[in-house]
Amino acid sequence: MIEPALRFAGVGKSYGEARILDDLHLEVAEGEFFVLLGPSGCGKTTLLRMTAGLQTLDRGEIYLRGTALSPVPPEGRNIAMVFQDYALYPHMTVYQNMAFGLRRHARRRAETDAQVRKTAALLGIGALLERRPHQLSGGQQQRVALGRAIVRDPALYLMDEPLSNLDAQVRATVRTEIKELQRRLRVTTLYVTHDQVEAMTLADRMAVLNEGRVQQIGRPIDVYRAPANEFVAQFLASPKLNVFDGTLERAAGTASVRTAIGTFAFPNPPSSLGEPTALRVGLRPEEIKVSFPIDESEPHLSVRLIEPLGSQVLVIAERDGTQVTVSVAADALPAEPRRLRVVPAGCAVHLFDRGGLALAHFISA
Amino acid sequence: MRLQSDRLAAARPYLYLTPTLLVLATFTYLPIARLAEMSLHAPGTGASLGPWIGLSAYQKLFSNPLFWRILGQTFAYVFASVPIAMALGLGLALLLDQPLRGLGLLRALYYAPVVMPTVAVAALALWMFNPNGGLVDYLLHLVGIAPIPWLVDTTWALPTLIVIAVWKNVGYYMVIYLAGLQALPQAVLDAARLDGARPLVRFFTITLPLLRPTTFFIGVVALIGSFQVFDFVNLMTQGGPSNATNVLVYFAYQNGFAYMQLGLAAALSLVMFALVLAILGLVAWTFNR
Amino acid sequence: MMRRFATYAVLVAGLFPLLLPFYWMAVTSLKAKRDVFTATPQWLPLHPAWDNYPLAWSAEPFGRFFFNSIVVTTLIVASQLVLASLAAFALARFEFRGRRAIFWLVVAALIVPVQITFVANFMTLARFGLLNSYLALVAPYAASAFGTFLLRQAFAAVPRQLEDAARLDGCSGLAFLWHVLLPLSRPTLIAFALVAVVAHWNDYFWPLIVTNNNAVRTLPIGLGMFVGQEVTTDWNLLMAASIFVSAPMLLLFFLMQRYFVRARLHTGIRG
Repeated sequence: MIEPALRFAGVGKSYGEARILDDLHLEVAEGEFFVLLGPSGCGKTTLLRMTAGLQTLDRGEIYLRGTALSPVPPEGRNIAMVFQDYALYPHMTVYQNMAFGLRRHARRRAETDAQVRKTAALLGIGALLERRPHQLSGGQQQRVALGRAIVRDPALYLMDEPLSNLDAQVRATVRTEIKELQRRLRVTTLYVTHDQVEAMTLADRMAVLNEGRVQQIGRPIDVYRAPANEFVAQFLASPKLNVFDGTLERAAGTASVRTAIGTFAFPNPPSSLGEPTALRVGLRPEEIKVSFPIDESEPHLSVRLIEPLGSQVLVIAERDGTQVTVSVAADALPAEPRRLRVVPAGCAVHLFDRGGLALAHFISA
Repeated sequence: MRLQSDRLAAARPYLYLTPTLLVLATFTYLPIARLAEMSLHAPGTGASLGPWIGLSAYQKLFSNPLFWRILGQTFAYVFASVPIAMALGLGLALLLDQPLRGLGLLRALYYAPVVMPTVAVAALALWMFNPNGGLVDYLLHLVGIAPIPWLVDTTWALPTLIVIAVWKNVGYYMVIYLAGLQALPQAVLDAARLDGARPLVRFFTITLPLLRPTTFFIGVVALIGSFQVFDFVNLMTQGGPSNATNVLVYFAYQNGFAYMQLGLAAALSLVMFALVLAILGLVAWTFNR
Repeated sequence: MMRRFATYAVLVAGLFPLLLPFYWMAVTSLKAKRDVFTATPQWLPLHPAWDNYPLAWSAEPFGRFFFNSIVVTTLIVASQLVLASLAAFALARFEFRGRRAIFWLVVAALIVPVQITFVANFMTLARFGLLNSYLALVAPYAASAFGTFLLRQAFAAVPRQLEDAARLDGCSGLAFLWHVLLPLSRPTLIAFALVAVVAHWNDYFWPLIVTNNNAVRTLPIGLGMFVGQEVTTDWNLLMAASIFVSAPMLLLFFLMQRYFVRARLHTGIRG
């Protein structure tokens, strides 16, 4: 077996009684862009800081290219980190910021100079080298922070929500840049975020974390299509996952789930499903098919609110205390819709047991 | 190996603190205990202590009418000079807190006396208030006021010292008040303006209450500072005429170094310390109510 | 318009009592002895007696006092900066047992001025035969509770991420203090240093207690002796001496005004 670039073996961390991380196992391949996704307080930043050596671990070990990291001090780990607030040295120029670590690691002046200039050119900040951080825009500061990591030519990049302080516009640009850069440099990257869009767009593979435990590991698209549990499905939904109580009904060769908004039919019910009668049904707003009936006699929900997002429109509808949020293409929306009906055929349905564990994912027939 | 370096790392903050704590212990904390010790013993030969005498130094001090007079004079000095200088400082700060040309220079000029050595100020004041050719008397003469025996009269001497102290310190209070004013939330002042409050009303209902923390800070610093008044007394009046300007620190200095009553001086120092603590407590209590 | 005029009028009127003494000090210092006492004061030195300055300078060993003041002030301020930086570093950036208690211990020292402890400190120094030495002048001020407090506040304001970044760059411990904390706290450092320079250059009380020998006396003591001797006679010389004793601080103040004002803004102790 080839040793992965980065391996977390049973890593645990507690603060007093609170378990921040619990028996965590992860492997990141060489050159992989790996994203840790989770809500704040899930332990993802702690994991990053432990990898950097800024915090100690209570249990387990982290291996970088097969070497146990615990005995190695932060500066000896050959790891570079990009911080949420960039953490640029305010009293140093861009050049000095980038050169500082190299000089502390006893590189020669000429070598340092060449490295800094090469990296600055790569990031397109060559003209800013003599500026100080406060003279730079947020996006430029972010690039310098990246530069400071890249210039060290480390075995691993750690990125702690590096985009969260940028304006929406700049964020998208820098996101693309980070992705391109990582593709080009092929340096193993561990990236922490709470933003599912960042995770989906950047990650080769990702791990969803909650309350110190790994919920699911996989390629973004796989995690999206088949979330391992209700938490993951909820976290990857935008703006939110519609969840309904449902009852499973089996007939010869088919099965269906009845909910307050409609009955969804399994095309090929897996045998693994067993016979749970009561379960939870999740539908993402963008995965629900709807129609807007004019006729009042058809069963329907009443439209409560319309939130235009541009090309998409969120429609919130309700009946008897059951609310559903759906995302509809703007040009498919009639003027002033009053009634909404869920069309089961074609909806993507996620079934969970009462404990939230995923049972099946299917497209309703 | 690992353990050893861990232990070393744990010791580092204490290592960094040691020099500072050593100096503070030697010259600030322990002297308080040493003063107590000295005040309870008769003076010995050289640096050693004589026999235990209990509280008799304090008894001697408290039964001395001069002590009570000096205590009163110190309070008079403190509670006249501090409020006057603070009020003037606030007034200047209000005037200077405006976007007008040349105010930076004025600010600097008003501050200049603060950086002057007290000795130079004392020399200058002795000359200005001199009964023989002093400029102050001459200026009063111009407006028809007879010469005043500033520093040589028991009634006038203490007020004269107060005037000099105010002149020296007002710039200091001004600058801190300026900082306080500039930190005020502009939106609140604007709101009061829109509510139609006149400038004077705005000052008393908005500005002054918002400046409370600044006033508290200045009050504490000024009280501690002016309680220690010594330089002007020693240089200009030596506590005279007939003890009219004698103050606690000067009295302790006299006892310790002129009359060689070290026990008494130590007792006096501790009484001062207690007074400083009491006044601080009182000020803190007033402001936290 | 009217308000602006009124503001200027009041402020300029206020300048009169403020600046007149300075002016009078300067004018007197340049008067010949016979021009000092006149029935109507001479507002201008008609025959500037520049000689007053060298005369005053040699009336006491002011050269020696000047030298002593420079040595003592430099030693005190340098020591305070070093010790306060280290102590503040510990208090601001380390977790350790007793941190809060030590912090409050340092703050408490602020309310115990030398005017309270001088009798005890004099005895201590006397016992070790240290009176009349630079050590006696410097040692009680070698550390500064105020400087420690100020720098602690400045150091504590530096974000933790910066410390993390520095550690990954191989810069921790004293290197972090030197390369990051101190440069970042430059305004506070300068402000504190200036306040300390002024306070100890001008200090009259403590040198008075521990010196009685011209070899170690400082400028304020020298001028104080001059005040004692020259009262009622040579006001011109005394004013000249007052000017050259004050000049370094006034000069420093007008050159570094920006930092002085900042010192007051952030701190506020008397200089």
